[in-house]
Order: sequence, then structure tokens, then C-alpha cells
Amino acid sequence: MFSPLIDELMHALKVLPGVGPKSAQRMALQLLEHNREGALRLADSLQRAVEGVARCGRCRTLTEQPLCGVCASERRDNSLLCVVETPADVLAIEQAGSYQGKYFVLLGHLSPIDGVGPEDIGIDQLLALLEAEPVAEIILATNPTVEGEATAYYISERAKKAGINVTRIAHGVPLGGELEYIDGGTLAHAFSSRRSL
Amino acid sequence: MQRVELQPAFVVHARPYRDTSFLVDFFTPDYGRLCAVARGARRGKNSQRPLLNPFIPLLISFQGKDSLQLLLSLESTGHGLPLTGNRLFSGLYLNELLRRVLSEWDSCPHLFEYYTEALRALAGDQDVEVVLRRFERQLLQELGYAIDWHCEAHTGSPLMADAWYRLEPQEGFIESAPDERGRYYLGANLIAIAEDSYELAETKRAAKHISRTLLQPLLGDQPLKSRQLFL
Repeated sequence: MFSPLIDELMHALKVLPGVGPKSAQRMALQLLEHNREGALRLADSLQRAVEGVARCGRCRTLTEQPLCGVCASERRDNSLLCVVETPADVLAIEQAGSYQGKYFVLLGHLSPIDGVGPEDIGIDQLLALLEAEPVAEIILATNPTVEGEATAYYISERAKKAGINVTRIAHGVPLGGELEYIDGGTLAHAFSSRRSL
Repeated sequence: MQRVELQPAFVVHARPYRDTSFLVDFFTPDYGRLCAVARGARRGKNSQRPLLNPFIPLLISFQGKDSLQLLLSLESTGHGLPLTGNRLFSGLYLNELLRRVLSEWDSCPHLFEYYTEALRALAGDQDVEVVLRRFERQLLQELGYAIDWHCEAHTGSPLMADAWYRLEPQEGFIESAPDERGRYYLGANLIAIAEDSYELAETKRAAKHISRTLLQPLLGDQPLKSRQLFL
């Protein structure tokens, strides 16, 4: 229905998450009809980001510098290391704003059925980092799923062997939530890891 | 189009599918292993999400025309079985085993029962190795790869405690004098395994080796990834 170039653009837009044929068409027409300047800016920044952004050499999050902002910062606490699954988790914790240590991003979790073993989530790099830096505590912030728990346990065993204190973030009732609507597994966990006041 | 209501099930594996869904491998008694789409389960506050994890006893309803089913509803019938540490890795090992050797839509009610028992035993305080060996034997038996644990394969005479045997995966145990090549098992250990009594470390070692040998043809060249997790 559309000319080849427009078709190609719509097809290309469909790589974005949540964008199907209808949204792709709307986006393509919006850019071509009403916002050509914006379209050029988008094309240019896409190009530069894809060419420039790689992994941080220390924590493996996304950055275009050799070391990401957090790793390069002098003000962050070098003795705390928070281990997360994805760069999005780093952003979530940074937005919460209360953590002052550094990070390590696994880029996944242990999942034998998917063929993801310890060497695929950078365990060797993590252990090398623990040896090279004065880390006193590892905070395991992998997801509270079965795979996330398996990953946390695996790392804790390896880190304990290296003589490092290991902690796991707490799981339980969300702030402002109501007990009535919380699933049984979460409640059971909240009770088993209760603390005295 | 068939519609199945309230079938007992465990999640074997769930992986992200499209933007907001999961593609879930379930293990059920009447339909064996099957794959279903849990539509919208990855959306923020979806109530299904916490249940789409392994080791939680579930009741599921699903429908579909071909091999891929649509998950209609799921509820848990009890608490998830709390597995931690090596017991969690063992649970993942069981799941990887199921996924690798069990074909889809192969009804196996006994195996489902054995699997449930094995998970309960892992959640309790039974010796992990004993639970795994027992399940591996039951799995092989249900798939039709069982070997005779009581008689010598060529002569048919009962296994003797003080004799040595070698294992031929297609045939069974054959009495033969041990030499340096190959692996030989003492009759006493084989009798102990058949009786499900694993008191000696030597019996456990033999059982592990026999399981691996028998599972090898079913698994092919790719080794089980979950074995790497045990430290």
C-alpha cells in the first residue's frame, strides 16, 4: 500500500518493544508528515548510541565510556558491591537513591534449561573484581524468582570461599500494601524473615 | 479445540514471550509435559506471576487446537516447596531432566507422583543424592528404559553380593571379572540400590555412575547444565 521506503521504515520500527503494525504505521506517518527534524535527530542519536555504547569494563552495565559513571565516581563506597541481573535494575536502585556503593551486572541469571551456566553470567569477572578491590560486603539483589534465588545462592557460596560477607536484599510486604491481597508465598517469606523491633 | 479444566501441574520452566507474556512449560499427570502461553503475565501487577515459578503445586486450565496451548487460569493448591541451596539446584536438575527426556503430550501419572514425592523429599531433610537417584530410576522405568536390578542379564540367575558385574545399557548387568578398563560394580551395591538402601558411600557412587550411563543415550551430546551448579 505504501511505497517501499515507507514500508521499510514501518518494518524497522517494529523492532521496538510493544510496537505492532498499527503503531509502526502511526509513528512512521507522524515522523514523515509532521516532524522531519525530530526524525533526523532520532536517526542520528540511534546511530551514535549503537556505535558508541558498550559495556562498562568493571561492572558490565551499559555505557559509552570505558568505566560507567558509578564505577568512575570517587564518592561511591568501594567496600559495598550490589549484584543485579540487568542494567534496568541498576537504574531502579539509583532512582531509589539510598544506595551509595557500587554495582556488578550479571546480564542474566542462572537458568540451566536455557543453557545459561555460571560462566555465562560473568562469575569469573566478578571473582576477579572481588580480588582486585577492597570489597567488604556483597549485596545480592537478584530477582526473587527461582532462578534469581539459585543465582544468589551460587554467588554467595563462591564469595564466602573468598572470605567476603554476603547479604541478600529483604523480600516481603510492599510499603503501602494490604496484607489481604498479598500472595501466600510472599507472606510466608515475610513471616520467616521477620525481625525484632 | 479441547479445553482442560483444573489439571494438577508444576511449572518446569517459564521464559519471556513477546512483550508481556510468558511461554510456560508445565508438567501434568494426564497430559505430560505441555507448553502454554500465559498471556499478559509479565505486566506489572499481574497476580499470576508469582505462581509461574517452579516447585509450586498448581491447578491449571488451558485450551488450544495444536501443541501450543493458551493458559486460562491457574491457582496454587498449597505452599510452594521451599528449596534452598543445593536442594534448589537439585530441583532445577530434576526440571532440566524432565525437559530434556520427556516428550510433549505423553501422559505419565506415575511419573508426576514420583516427581511430587521427590520435590517434597528435597524440601524436607532427606539426603539429596538418594532423592535424585531414586527419581532417575523411576524416570527410566516410566520411559521404558528400565534394566533388571535382580538378575544377571545373560544367565538370568540372581545377582550375588560378592560377584562383580559390568553394565550394558541395552541388556543389563553381566557378570565379569574386573580389569583396569571400564567400570565394574560389586553385586552387594547393586542389590542395595535395588532395595533403595543407600547407606554406603560406595553404593551412592555406583548408583550415580549407573544413572549417568543409562541417561546418556537419552540426553545425547549436550551435557546437563545444572550439573555445573553443584560446588
